[in-house]
Amino acid sequence: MSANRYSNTDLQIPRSALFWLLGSNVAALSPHSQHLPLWMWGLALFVLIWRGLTHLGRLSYPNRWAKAVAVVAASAAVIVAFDKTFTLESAAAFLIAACLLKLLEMRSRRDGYVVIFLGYFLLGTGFLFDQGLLTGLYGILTVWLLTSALVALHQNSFTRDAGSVRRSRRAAKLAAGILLMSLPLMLVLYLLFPRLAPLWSIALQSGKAKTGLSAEMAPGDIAELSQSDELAFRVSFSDGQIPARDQLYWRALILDNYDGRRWQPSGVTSEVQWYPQSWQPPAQAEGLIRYDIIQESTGEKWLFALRGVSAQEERTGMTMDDRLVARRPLHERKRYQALSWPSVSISEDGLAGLEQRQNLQLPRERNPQALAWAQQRLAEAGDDAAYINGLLRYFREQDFYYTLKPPVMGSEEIDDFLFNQRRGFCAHYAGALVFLARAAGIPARVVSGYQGGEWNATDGYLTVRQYDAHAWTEVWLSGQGWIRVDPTAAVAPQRIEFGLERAVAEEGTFLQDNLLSPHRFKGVSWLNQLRLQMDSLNYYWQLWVLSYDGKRQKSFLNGWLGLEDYKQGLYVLGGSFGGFFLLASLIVWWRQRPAPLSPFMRSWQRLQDKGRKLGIEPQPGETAANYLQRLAQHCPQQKSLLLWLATEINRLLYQPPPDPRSAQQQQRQLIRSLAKIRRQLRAG
Amino acid sequence: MTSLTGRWRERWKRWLDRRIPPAPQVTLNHKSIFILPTRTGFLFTLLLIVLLLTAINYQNSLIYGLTFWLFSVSLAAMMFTFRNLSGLTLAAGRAYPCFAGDVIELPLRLTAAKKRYHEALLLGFPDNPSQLTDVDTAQTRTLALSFRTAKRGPLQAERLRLDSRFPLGLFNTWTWVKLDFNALVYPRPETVPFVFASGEQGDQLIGAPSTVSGQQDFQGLRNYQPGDSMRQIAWKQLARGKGLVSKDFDHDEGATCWLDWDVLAPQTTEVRLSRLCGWVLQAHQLGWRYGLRLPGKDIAPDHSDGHRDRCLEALALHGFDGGER
Repeated sequence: MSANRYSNTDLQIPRSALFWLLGSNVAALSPHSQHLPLWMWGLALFVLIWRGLTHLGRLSYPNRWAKAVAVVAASAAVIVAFDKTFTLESAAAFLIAACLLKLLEMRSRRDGYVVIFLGYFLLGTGFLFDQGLLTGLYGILTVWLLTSALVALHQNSFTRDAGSVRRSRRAAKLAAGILLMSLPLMLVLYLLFPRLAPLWSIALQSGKAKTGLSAEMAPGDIAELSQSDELAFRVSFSDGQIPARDQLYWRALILDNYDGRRWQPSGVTSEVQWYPQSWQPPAQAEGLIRYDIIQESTGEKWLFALRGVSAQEERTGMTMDDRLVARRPLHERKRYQALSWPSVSISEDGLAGLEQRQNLQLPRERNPQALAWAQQRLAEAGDDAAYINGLLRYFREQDFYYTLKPPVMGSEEIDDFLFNQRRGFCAHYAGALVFLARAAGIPARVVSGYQGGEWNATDGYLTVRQYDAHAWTEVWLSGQGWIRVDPTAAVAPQRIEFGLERAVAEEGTFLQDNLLSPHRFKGVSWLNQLRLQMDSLNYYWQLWVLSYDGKRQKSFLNGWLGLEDYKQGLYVLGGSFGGFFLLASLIVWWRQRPAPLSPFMRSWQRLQDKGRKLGIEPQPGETAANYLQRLAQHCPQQKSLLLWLATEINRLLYQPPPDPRSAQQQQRQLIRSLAKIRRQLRAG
Repeated sequence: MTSLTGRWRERWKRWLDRRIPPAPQVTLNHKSIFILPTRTGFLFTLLLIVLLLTAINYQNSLIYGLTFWLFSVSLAAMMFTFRNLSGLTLAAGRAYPCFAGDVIELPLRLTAAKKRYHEALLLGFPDNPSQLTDVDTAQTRTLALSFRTAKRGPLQAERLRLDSRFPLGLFNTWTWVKLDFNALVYPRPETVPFVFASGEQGDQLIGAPSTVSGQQDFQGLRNYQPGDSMRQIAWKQLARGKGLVSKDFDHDEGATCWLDWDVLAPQTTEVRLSRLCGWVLQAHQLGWRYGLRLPGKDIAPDHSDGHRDRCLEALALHGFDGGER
């Protein structure tokens, strides 16, 4: 009954709440702008204008037909815009279209609830696309706006100042108060609530192509990637020191299959040993590097690691060809540890038959010039190592150029590159070197990943961006096993020593297609300083907030709170809940405790208690003098005393002496007489 | 079944009377305030579950954060909703009397607690219209609550209900308060022809030009005297700016009668009181001097607004101990 009563009298959305509802929902939708079709903004504007006109009384609400048409049209438009694919983006677009249409038709308070709760959910789904620091801060603002809208929805719309700025400000202030008050508990929950593994794997993933390495490599791919300044991953080293730059080869993929045009992984060596069964380097080994990586989502399983890697974490493993991989594709940012022993020798005793064959594979019918040239050089050099060194010397001494704008190669790519154009990017050099090695019967493979990175000395971490993408080679020499050979280092040593920017400085092609990138302005010192500071803020955000997962939680519980397992954690969680409520009820009790009585009132009450025993019940609203008179009638012996008391009390109350000290004295006297009379009081 | 619910209702009423005893003034505290989640609260819980599942399955820290924040907000909302009622003082004002079956307007004074702004309070008696109001910091607001009366006598108002969902609508907090409104309900007037018993005790209309009715002829104007009925005032003269003047009729002035309980002999008490009430009103309107004779109480004939009210009060309180209040 009561619920109906409530909703009946207050069915409509208060006028002042409308602006809150519209504003907060627009705020919740905005982070989705990157993956929404443009017409969605048209729809949003249309809804806002219509709703505004309705508010002013110029236009009526849409009727049932208009609504039906709008729903069908919007759904169809989403399906068409996303090419009938069901991805995270199209799902979000559906949700947003629904939210916008609901904004248009909302009338009752219940509609308001739906819109606000949808807003909260949209804000949450926005975090699936971006979890940056700024997005997080923006999220706080949006939560505040949505909560204010919820408060405004409940404000009284029947008062004179309904819809005034003052009331809106009150709603905002109250919402801020509620949000601040809930922060401590939120932090406790954030730290202590068990971080579970995904309950089921979700088919719904982002359909957006991610910038980053791809599983196969055509010569132009990496050059394209080098135009992006997006973050690939960040590394911190456990000893705080950065290894030598020419050691910073972050291996991701082995490309050992060549079809004359593209390099691809053959999969021959991608069998995985999962942690903890995987290989571990001896503890006392020289030159071990332990590091911690926060990798942006790639949608792929590969992780990034230095040579001689060993898996250190659950759900990671290492392949036969010395790469680190994850069990599941990385649809989210992932933080992991790894240990590398760069000086370890790998497969020095010989290759297995299949691996040997794969790493010598070549399309023999193509690039005849290069094939013949390789045979000739090998004969001149005598042994394999000398042959490879000879090739590197050849690259260095001949007029080979390192460029981000290589010319288009002919159909015999390697021939054209080696003997005509001689201009290329790392992928060209790596491809050519592997081709020449294999042509000479030396097992070789292309490795792709990242090289170098930007070291932040103050906070001690390395930032690796997409433009650090690189391809190099590994050749197998008997007795030495797989060793790294980077032909780019021979052609453009600056690329390895200082990074891409320095290597292509003359050419001016660094981030050429990305005019506004702050990385183009590393020369402007204050701008660069600002950029580095923003970057380290983002790093700490990722380190402390975003990468807080089950493992990090466990170590936090262990290290900070001294808890051994979840059970204890749950006790703490329960305890803090109990504490929260206990504290709240204590505060309520303390606030509502009866005010302490003055000594005079206390002795007066004691007299009344005595009177009650004698059957003279004090009446509500009765004056002291009145009561004493009634008492006097009941107890004739003390009559005169009681009547004297009545006049004295009246005098103290209504004619107190002007100076407080004698007033106090008088009061004390009166208290004494009260006590005396009480003791003597007897029914007559 | 009905008896069972009836019994439960009785029990509930008794429990409420112990917990929130009737008083002229009530300050709300944790003893008198009830709170429960609303349907919207459950919808919000659903939102939280969906958000939590999204956070777990996508391993997304910010969604975790959002979920926990909103969860904490819902707990804080419980406290804020409670605070919206807590500390509020409700006090009964003095109401004008009305006739049984009419809607009485009961003045209710709401006083805010220190530094508290009570917003969007919904007040009303069950099955009567409710009102939405705010009480600003350190302010007193007076409302007139409607209550449809049923019986004559001192007003027996039900418990009034005060609801609030402010600020977030996730919880509904309410209280049932019983306030002592000092109001009187007169019997429902019943219009029947006068019956004057004949006899020596002045049981009939004496001194009237006609014994049948109060048809009178206009005699002239005279100055207004306090106590003249509204009907007598010459409104046209007043409108012309000639001051308050009363019309003087060749009226039944001086016509005196006794309205007697006993002439309505076979009827039940309530019917008799209703009819007497109707007669009092008629006689007053006709300008007669009338007296009221009730068992154990006589009111001598007179004519004035005060006299009428005295008679109506006597009728209202007939049978209630103490008689007059």
